[in-house]
Amino acid sequence: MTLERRAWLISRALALILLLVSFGVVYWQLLRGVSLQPVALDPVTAAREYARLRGDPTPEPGSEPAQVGMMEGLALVPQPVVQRTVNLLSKITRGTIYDSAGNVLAEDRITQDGERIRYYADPSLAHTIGYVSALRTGAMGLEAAYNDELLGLNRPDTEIARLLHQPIRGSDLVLTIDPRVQQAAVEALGGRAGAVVAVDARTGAVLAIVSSPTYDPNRAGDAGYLSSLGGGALINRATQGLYTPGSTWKTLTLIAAYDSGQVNAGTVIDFGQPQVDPSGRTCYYYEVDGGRIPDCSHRESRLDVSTAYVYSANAAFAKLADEMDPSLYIEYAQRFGFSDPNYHRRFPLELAAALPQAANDLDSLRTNNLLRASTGFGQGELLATPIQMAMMAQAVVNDGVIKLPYFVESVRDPEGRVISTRPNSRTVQGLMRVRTAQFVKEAMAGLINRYYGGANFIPGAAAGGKTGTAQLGGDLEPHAWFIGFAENEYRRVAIAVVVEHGGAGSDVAVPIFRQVAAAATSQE
Amino acid sequence: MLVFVIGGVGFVSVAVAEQVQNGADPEPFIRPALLPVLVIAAAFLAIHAALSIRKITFEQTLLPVTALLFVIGATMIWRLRGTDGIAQQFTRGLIPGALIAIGLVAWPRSIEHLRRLSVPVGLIGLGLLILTGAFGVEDETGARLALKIGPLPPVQTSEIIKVALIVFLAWYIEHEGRAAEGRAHTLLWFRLPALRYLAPAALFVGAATLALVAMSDYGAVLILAILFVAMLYTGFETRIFVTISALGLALALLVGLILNHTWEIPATIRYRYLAFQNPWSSELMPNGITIAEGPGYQIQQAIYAIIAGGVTGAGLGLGTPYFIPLAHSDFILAAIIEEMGSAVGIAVLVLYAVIVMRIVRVALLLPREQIFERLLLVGIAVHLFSQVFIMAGGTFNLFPLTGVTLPFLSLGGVALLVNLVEIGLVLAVMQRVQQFQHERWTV
Repeated sequence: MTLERRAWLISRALALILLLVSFGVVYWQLLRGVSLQPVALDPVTAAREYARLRGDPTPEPGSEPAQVGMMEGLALVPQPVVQRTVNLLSKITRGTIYDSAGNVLAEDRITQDGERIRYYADPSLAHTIGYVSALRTGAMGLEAAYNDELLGLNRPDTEIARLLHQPIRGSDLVLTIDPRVQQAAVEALGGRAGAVVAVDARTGAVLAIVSSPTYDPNRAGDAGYLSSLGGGALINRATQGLYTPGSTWKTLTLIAAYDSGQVNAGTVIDFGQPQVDPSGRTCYYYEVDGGRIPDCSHRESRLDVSTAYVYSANAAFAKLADEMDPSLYIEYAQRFGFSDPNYHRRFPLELAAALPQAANDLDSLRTNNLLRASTGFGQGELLATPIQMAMMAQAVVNDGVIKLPYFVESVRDPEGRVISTRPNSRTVQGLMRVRTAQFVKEAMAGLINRYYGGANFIPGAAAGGKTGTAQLGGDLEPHAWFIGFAENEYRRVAIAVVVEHGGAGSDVAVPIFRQVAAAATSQE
Repeated sequence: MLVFVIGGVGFVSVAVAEQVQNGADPEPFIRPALLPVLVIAAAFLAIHAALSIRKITFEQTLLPVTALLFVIGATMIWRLRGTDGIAQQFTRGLIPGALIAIGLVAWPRSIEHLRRLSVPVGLIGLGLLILTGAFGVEDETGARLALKIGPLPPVQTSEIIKVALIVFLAWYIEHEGRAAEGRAHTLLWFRLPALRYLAPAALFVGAATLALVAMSDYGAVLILAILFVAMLYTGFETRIFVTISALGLALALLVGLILNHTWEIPATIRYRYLAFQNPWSSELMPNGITIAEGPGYQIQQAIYAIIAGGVTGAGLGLGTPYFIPLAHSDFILAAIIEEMGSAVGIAVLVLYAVIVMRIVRVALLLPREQIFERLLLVGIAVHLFSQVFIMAGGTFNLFPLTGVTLPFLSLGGVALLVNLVEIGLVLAVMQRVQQFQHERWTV
């Protein structure tokens, strides 16, 4: 070959190689662009992707945490991603969060130094709304659950704004929180450790949610503030607090016994011979497998089931649970979410929720009759979250159907146009027959009639409920519980109240229920 | 023709000026932003004027394309490094480069002198390189790239050796090539040149390679290898090139294997290779997080910049190319893609391809017997190509990263100057074409 030919060939070859090299850009932008996006919006997915790229051993399925907090999420992605994420987020105005009356609960504000900060109006909603970190790379609560919406992602006009380098404003959230009910709940709880949840039973809209003690989300970015908080102030007790439900659980035992046909409205429980204890009280005892379950709540030796429920007769519910087919009993517990392996799929709340449990080990609940009998009246190894107990009351007042509690009523773009309504609304069915719900509802109303003055208890609304005093053993004061409902033409509301170490449910939790239910059922 | 050039450069300058303004919005910033554009336009127009005076009009693409690339690079440097960066780009690169180019165009016999002085040029380049390898100034990464003589700023001698090699090889092939081919032994399909002819070139390249390895400038080694093979391929008309490349490759492999057994592979190379395989590999992150600015970190930042750019880019001054280490030199292509988009990024590569093709076109227009000039131009084209190829491929993580500069784009002293002088050489050689065509026409 001549020099001419070779030189010509070489120039074409080199030009071609350069064109081929430019496909490198196409590769990164088109093929890897999405999985390597610099936004750590979804820390779990990002952490998983980078763990794969790093070559970390694959974690066991299911062992990964359901929700990675912001600090963990940031530590798991490479620093360049953090850098670019911080930069990107600093240019977006997050959407505003409103309550159902249109009051601002959280919004972006510009300080005098021109710095963008997130302002939170109501510390009692700190656990529910959550907060964004100082650099905005992480979030908790609804701020995390609706991060994409609040940042305006997936909205066509923000994509255009991004292309045109215009300022981006995220979408707004309107919550279901009713400020009057929320205020009533905060005042009624009065700063005692505990939680209150009020759910609109017809829709599932959460009208009030309080977890106490709380913290100031406006100070979340201050050095050392969050770690200085004691008493589990960061835990949302309403969805993550696990408490022994005490006698409120008799509601489930009653549901299971009636729904399965073990008892009917006319069934009478025979308590046998009473014994008088040293202090002069009349007590009945239910004996099972060498254990004695005392029941000092009534003098009568025979009671029908509804009255036994109203009197909260431990021996009756120990007997019902003991004599029931264990598998059936477990099935009813699981229907309501207790020890349900599909809990997060059946009850997908917008907030992180703890898993309620019927027993540490379901097999022991099957074989250990004493444990099952203790479980029957709400002790045993039961652990319940307030929101799950509210759902139980809701199912009773709703003819056996749970409308899953949700917090976001609508997502709106900055011009106020509704983008989506009730994004997390869903129904949980197959819990019990309608007749069962009506029977239990009457039993719950009977308790209000018997002890709390019936129609006068909540002005203008019919109410029902069940107290609970969860014994904790040792010298610990019991947890005070109340679950119940109140309804009139305006609203049907299901409420759960728990006061940690508050004492007797009837003394401590009932007044709180009364105040919240009154606020929820009055129109003004 | 002149109008076309002015139009081309002018259009580009105005476009760029507008973009620079956008970066620093208000009006008082516009005037100072226009100043560098005027300097660039003046420099390239001066070269063009020199060409026009010499009545060289047959090649109108090379200079505007070079100007366009320079302007894109200068814009990015202005954005990343501000006035200091652009001043360095001008005083150490553009202005001396343009002056030398004008000198070469105005003094056409310079090529003749260069041919006669090829051997001293080659030897001086080699000498400087060996001096650097022995006494050079170490930079923070432990590479010894620059030679500091007296009060002068440090000079990266590895840039000079590349031109020296081109000149030396062009002379060598012209002088000895035909003879070497005539005296070649045939071994099976291969043709082996006689040792007497092979030895000087092999010795030259071997010595340069050893010095560069001592300086841990592996990018330059690669460029020398590409230059060596490409020039021998073009220079010889027989398959002799195949033999020589095969021999060189075998030798390199042998040395590599021996080194691998006796010494450890240098950490730089090992980490670069790991970073190429997987920039996110945990082996590059001893503490779990890539905070250390290791090779994985650099490549990651470049990749994120490329992704952030999209097709149209974040806009000048609106992206975050300053996150990338060495964004103004090694990774300027990633910075350009982040702010101007992959459209401009790919266009830059196309422009380089155009430059390579135009330079070779000039070489092919030369008379047959001017082998030195022809090989000189081919060598220059291959040199520019290899720089772009190594750096773009490294930035896109197509192969392990080696730090060289992108011609006309990167902030660079000697490297930029050398590239501009190369363009000057091409322009000077163009006069031969003019003469040749004129003679052919009149005869």
